[in-house]
Amino acid sequence: METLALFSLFVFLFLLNVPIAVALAVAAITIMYFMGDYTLFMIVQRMYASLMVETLMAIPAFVFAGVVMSKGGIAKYLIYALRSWFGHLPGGLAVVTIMSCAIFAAISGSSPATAAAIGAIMLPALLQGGYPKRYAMGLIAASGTLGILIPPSVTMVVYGVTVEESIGKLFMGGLIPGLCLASILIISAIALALIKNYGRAPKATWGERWKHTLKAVPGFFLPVFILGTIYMGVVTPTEAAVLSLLYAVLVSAFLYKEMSLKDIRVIFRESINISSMIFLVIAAAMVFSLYLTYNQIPGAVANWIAENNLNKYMFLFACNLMFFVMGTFLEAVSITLITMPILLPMIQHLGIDLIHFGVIMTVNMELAMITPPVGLNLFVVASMAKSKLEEVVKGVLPFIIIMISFLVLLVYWPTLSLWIPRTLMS
Amino acid sequence: MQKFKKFYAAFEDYLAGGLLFTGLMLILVNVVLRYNPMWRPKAWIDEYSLYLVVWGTLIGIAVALRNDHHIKVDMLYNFLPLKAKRWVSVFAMTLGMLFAMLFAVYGVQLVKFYYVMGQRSINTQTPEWIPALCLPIAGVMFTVRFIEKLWILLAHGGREWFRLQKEKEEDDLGNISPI
Repeated sequence: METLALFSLFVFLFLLNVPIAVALAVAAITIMYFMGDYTLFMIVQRMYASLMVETLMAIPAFVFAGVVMSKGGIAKYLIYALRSWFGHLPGGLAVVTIMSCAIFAAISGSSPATAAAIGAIMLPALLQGGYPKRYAMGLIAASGTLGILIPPSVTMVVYGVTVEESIGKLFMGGLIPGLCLASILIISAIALALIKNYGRAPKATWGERWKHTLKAVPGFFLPVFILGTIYMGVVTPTEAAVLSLLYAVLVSAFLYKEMSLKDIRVIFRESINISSMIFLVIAAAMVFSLYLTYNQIPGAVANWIAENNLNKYMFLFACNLMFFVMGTFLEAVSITLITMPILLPMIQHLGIDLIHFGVIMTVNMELAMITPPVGLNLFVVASMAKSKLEEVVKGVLPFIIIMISFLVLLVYWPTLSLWIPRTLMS
Repeated sequence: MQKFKKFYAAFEDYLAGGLLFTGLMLILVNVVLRYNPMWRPKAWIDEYSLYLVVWGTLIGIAVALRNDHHIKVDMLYNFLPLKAKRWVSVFAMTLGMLFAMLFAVYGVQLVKFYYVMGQRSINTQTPEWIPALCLPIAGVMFTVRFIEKLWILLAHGGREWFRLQKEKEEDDLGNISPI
């Protein structure tokens, strides 16, 4: 009964435009206050303690690094290099967009950041190349979502902390699915460009190609460095994040010379905007899960599953459906934190691999970024292109269908996500 | 007043960003120490980097509010007429302000609690009440920004708020031409 009241209050509040974090916290605090088991001061303590986790520090670090990379030239030179190699091919500009997103995704852990960094340069280029605006916007919004599937990934950090699974293994689990999805997007982009005969960029000379590639080497090196060090176990994901931040700062300030002291405030502000928003959601969701665990809701749901003999695939189907629906109006961090404490005992009961589930969940969260009415990437692209949200939605629709089909493949073929982590363990 | 506001915004940005950046760089120091045979990683660095990052992000909550970066669900809100929007926003911001105040008040209580109990951290024996000070500080700064939002919504019958909404609308529809 109280649980129903809690969820209703949460929905009521966020529908009234209360920030999601505040709605989560206020709903949980109100119900707990009336139940009388908790003092409010314990709740604040819980919020504070939930943030004092070393693993979570990876989030601001990757966000920070992403901001520096998009402001300091690394993203820009990556795109120039890829464009000089592939821009003249059929669908070349679309391929460049997807590849840049995939590489940027291997450096930054966030989807909106990826869409913003690559879109700022590729959207005008695509339009100039004669691509319809609707398609260009949809392409950027969709390939930007690779940000959280290709490691590193903010969503996976949050998931890993919640279910106490190794972040490094989760990252490795996302690698092959991420590259698969990128390839699927590239193939469909080429096919579409051939059918519709979209424009191409002028062919670059070999001299230009080498010049651009050389300039972009520090950017290309970064994903290898981040994943390599985590893979070899030399550093933790958090440390890799911090190293890449320092690297990005050094490259931008001293090699490219595109970042100076006067940019510091903008970089600070943008990193803080995103990191603090995520941290507030985390702190608020912890109060929510405090309520759930205290009332043994997860256990009750797990028992229900056990009694009803629900099979693994029915469960996964139900989860996907639930994530999809929640994803239309919530964003990734809150969905993960609200659902995982409840789902975790069931996943364990049904013997589903937590890494496999983490990858499935992440692809669902990618969809959440591009499904209306609330999808962060849709907002990013709409405001960047000064276009209406409906237009972006129309452009992104074919990509939603592609991603759903990919999700089905992922659910029924666990090896795809488990091959690298398993090879690593043995 | 305008000058003070500008100064205060800069203060928020540099304080939150500076704390966050310093905290993250401290993590790096320990990596360096670990891989140098001459040195050992220091436990105090781990602990203090955590404090600094959490301080930075908590204080930054106010910055994110100032820049309208806290995620909201607009699907119902967007269908409302302008006047209704204003009152819904008044409700949302009031609730936010109450939450921020609660955060500040109970933050003070937590600090007091740690102080009276004399709890210290395991690694460095730092009194726990000192890092916990960020709760009341962040709570107050967060409250201040909510009050500002409410002021814009309510003062002079919401004149300033209506002006901002109009600006936003023109910005959204004004230039659909390709960029």
